[in-house]
Amino acid sequence: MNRCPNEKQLNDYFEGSLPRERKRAIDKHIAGCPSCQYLLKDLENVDSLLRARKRPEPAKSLHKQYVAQLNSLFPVVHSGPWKKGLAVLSRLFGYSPQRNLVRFAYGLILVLFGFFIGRYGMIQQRDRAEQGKTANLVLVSISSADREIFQDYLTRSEIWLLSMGNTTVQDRKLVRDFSLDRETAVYLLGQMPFLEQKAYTIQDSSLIRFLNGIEPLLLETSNTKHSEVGLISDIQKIISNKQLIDENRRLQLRFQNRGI
Amino acid sequence: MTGKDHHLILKAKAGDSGAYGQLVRKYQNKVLYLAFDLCSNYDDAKDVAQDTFVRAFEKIHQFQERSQFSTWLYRIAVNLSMDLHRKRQNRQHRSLQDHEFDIDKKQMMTSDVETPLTLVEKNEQRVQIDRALNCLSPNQRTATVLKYFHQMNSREISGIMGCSEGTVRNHIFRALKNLKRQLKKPIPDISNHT
Repeated sequence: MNRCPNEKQLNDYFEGSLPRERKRAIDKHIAGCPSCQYLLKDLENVDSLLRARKRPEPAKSLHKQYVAQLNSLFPVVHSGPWKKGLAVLSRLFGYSPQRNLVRFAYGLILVLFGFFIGRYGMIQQRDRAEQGKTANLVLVSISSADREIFQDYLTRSEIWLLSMGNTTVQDRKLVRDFSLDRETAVYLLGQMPFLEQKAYTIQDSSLIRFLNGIEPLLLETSNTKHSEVGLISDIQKIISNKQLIDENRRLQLRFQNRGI
Repeated sequence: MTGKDHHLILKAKAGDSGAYGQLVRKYQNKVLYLAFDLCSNYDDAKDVAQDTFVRAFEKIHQFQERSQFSTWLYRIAVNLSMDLHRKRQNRQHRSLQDHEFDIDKKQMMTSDVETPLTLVEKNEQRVQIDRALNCLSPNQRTATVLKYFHQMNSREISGIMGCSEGTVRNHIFRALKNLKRQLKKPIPDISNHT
């Protein structure tokens, strides 16, 4: 091949799309043609330069503005059941999946809500399970002076620790002087590991029902309010009817209203 | 075309703007980069890319899915870039290449991978190349950009530009020859830097 290849031939040669025979002929020509060699070398250099060209990243502010404008033009509306739920949340509470902080706060609220609901449910379930059981001793709060008397019970009985749920802070302050606090009572129970230890929290309103299901030997109600005197009478009646307490042990029934 | 794209396109055609929003999220960067390569600055590129998505949304019912959705988007972006180029040819405008160059210099200062000298050389090369690309005809520039900066083959480029593969190859070959002419400074051997 004596003549220089035309543009199309050179283009195909450069692209590598020529048939083998044709390529061989052009190879032969180029080997003896400085002009074609020079041209191809330049083209190869430009080709390499273009391949090595690195695009600069857009300025962050510009890219942010671009994305924000597209978001406002074409907001993503979620499809699918749970995504539709998110969209409903978005409409109702302004929930925005794009706002990470808001999303995190919503998530946290949901987790806390679930935690408290679950905990409350567990407590209710435990209370229901516990109510059917019987016990030999209901220990509410024990005066330190009576500790020796109760020691006998503590060594022989299955112990229930009952705290009155509706006791006000003020009431607790009043009874603190002559009562064991919960930690002390628990500690005391801890000294007798052979005993079955149970802690129970109950509201006064359900105390009667609770007492009907157990066999109380000792009840300390010093923190019960005056308005609940009637209830206390009922408790006393229940205890008396059951005849579960020895006469001398009845002394240990202490009421806030001593006149009853 | 991916199954997900097809699904979203069908929904978008049915008027679901949310589905189209998902397509936008997927292609927003690719279209922006293509527009930058064709316009040489991000300010114009941003406008072109936004117009591309708006135009595509308006015309999506005309999209026959005979090609990839991205190809169709690119075609719109290319046409809009060419329109902008034609408008700009009529009035002199301040090139923002120097602005981009400044940004690059800032990036270079924080880079710990390549030496500043290498980066400056590479950046100068890029600016040189971009300036030379601006002197090409729109078709030559588009074909070159799609081939070298978006790694497309002649068939894909012909789909975007709406011409034959032979024409695409011709555009590219002529573009290389023109670029060679435009790059007046001696072309450095880049193998030293890679």
